Amino acid sequence: MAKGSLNVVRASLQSYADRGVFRGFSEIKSGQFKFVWLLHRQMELTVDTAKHVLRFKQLLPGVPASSPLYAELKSYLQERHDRALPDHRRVDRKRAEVSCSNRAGVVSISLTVKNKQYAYGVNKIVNLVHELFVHLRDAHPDYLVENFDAPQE
Amino acid sequence: MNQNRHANRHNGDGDTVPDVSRRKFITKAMAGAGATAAAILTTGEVAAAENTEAHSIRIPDEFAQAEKTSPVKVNFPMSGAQVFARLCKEEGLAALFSCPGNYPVVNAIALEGIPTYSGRHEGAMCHAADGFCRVTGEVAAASGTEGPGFTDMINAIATANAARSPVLVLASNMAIVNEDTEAGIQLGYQQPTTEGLKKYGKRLITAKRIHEYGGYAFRQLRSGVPRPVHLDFPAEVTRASFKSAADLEYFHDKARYRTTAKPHPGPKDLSAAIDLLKQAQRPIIVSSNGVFYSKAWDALKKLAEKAQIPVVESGAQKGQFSDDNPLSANAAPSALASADVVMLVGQYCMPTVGEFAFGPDAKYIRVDPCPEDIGRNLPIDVGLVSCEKAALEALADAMPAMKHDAWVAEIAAARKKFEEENDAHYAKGLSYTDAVHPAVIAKELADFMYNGKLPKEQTTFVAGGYGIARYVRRRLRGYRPGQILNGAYQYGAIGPDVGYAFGAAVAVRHGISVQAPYKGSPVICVTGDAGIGYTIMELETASKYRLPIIVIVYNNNAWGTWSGNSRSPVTMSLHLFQENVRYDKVAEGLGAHGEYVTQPGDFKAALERCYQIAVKESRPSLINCQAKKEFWVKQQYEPGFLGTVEPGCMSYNH
Repeated sequence: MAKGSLNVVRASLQSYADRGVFRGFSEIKSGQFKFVWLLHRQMELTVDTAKHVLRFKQLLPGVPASSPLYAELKSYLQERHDRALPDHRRVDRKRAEVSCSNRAGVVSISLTVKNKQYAYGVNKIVNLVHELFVHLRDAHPDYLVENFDAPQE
Repeated sequence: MNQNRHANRHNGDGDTVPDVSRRKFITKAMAGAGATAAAILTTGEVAAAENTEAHSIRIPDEFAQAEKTSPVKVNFPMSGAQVFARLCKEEGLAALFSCPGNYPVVNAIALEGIPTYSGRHEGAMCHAADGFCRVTGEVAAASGTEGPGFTDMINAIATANAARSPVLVLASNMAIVNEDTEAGIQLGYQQPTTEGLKKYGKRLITAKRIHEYGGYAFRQLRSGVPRPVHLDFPAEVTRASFKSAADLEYFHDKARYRTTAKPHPGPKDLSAAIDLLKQAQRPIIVSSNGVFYSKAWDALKKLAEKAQIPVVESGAQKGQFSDDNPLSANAAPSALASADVVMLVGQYCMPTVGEFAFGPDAKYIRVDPCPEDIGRNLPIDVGLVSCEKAALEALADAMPAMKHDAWVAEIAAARKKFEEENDAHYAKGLSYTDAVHPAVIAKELADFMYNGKLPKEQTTFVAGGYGIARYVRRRLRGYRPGQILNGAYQYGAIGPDVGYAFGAAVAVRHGISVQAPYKGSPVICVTGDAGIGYTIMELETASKYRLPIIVIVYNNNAWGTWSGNSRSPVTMSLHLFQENVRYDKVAEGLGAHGEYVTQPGDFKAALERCYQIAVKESRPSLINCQAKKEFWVKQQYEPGFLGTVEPGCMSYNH
């Protein structure tokens, strides 16, 4: 069953690579994927089929756990479950749960998949990370300049 | 007055050649200014009428004389410069912006009756040409002298290139006979310098082919994706004399050397695009430069309304799709990630993956006249090689009537949320009373242009600046094509804004193309205190031509980059100016009206005063809004420095 779940994740991610959204896509070891995506950064997504967790590892550097930015990020992520959001934008708690962790100021974003809905989970976590970066562009441009070499005008 | 007689002199061989003296240049350049001084030159004075002091600022009488002088048609025998100018006239070159230099070409163009203006800096004049193109869709030229006059234009050429503007760059280039000698001054190889900054370039070295290469130039300017074209003219070419058309080996009517035919979408590709749009639940159209240059706004509206597809704008100019339309998604940034099919129309400056807010599942249709660019940066699902207008007309005819009510409602909700954010910024900005917060400028400026006494589609606006632009753009709305010039755009140059405003004001003064209904209306420009330093002298140019431009300067005593150095005592001062610099006084010294606003409550009245001066005196103004750099620090002054979401009203990079 775990292998089947992994195959679903693999195929779902591969579809983004096939469409040119992810570049340099590879599975460096079983359940651990690397690809170049937003802001031309290499990103790493792992899947733990035992714990049913998809994780963008070490996605955001330079975010101290005690910082207002981290508090705001946690709040933003929880709002992705908000029922006021349209269905196509919302992460349904019955199907998946969003969370984040912070180790030494580096934030990882996770999504716990329920009922083995891995295709749903991959779709949601990829869209969630995209929206997170749109949010950072909008609300925290200085953060992206300092930590991602985003261009200043 | 027989201008042709005065425009020429005899060389030692008995041939008639243009008089290229600097004195003659100044007179002739003014002669072509067309209607420039229509509202201007009856008194010859810029300063208040009662100011009779001997040293008051005044416009020389020669401006009025030039205004009264009609262009005279020149016939063979003609110089090379005159042959080229005739071609420009027949091709519809809409304006020339110059500084002294390249006298034979500039004089000949002016004498053809093409509106010709001369300013203080070739770079600013090249920005003016760019600005003119971007609010009219027509071709404008910029000219400078060989060597330094030409290199002064480089930044502006690069900016126009990134903005995909059809700017014709003309520069003189001494004589071929002196090549590689360093004889005299100002020799230089020009064409390699513009490599990568132009669509086409040529040093004209064979005089009898001048008409042929003019044809090359206009084919490039008027087809496909426009970008600058650079021609440089050695003296042997401009001064060559032609007794008749037979002396020119290539001298044809434009119907013989170029076509107005445009590429149309192939049936198979069109069908694929229609299938994708029909399947979409949340389709959206991105309208960009190509919709403007192909004049496709009616077809865009027809398609959008028939299939109920929302439209969001991007690009170097905005207004092709009215923000009045409920389908406008320009001010709905939080909805963009919901789109499932995105049709990019005329998006010449392409974002990379993730730069536009559309989500990773969105499918893309791209409409572009150049097949070689389709697929660059963003992967596509369908590519339509077509003139934008032809593609939109074909889609509007072929698409069935559709309804996407839920999607439109989602966009309306996002728009409401965005406006509430803007209003919250304004309320916060008003609470800071010791300086003028950018949210106050943005809100009250928008109210003045769109919600007050002016018809909301009237004012052509130049959206420059850096931090201030991030507030102002959130409030900018376009209600007709050519209404918003989107600053320096992708090249990100600092300070072209007064140059742009000058070019836009010339376009409005003459009522060129889409500016015709607003002929003579004032133009408003926002810039920063860093930017104004680059082109403030062009307020003197605007004053002498009496162009009704209002320049709003957001003065926070610093480059926009200061905040990144706020923790570095060594480098912080590199990003600062003197505090409270009086740009308004500089403007007054240049013949414009100046206002200094230090409190938020005073901005609106200052703007109204400037507008009245613009209307009644056709005179430029500068409003120096005193802010403080700390407004960018969120912890001290919420909301601080703002980010952007693209495309839409905030978009700038693409």
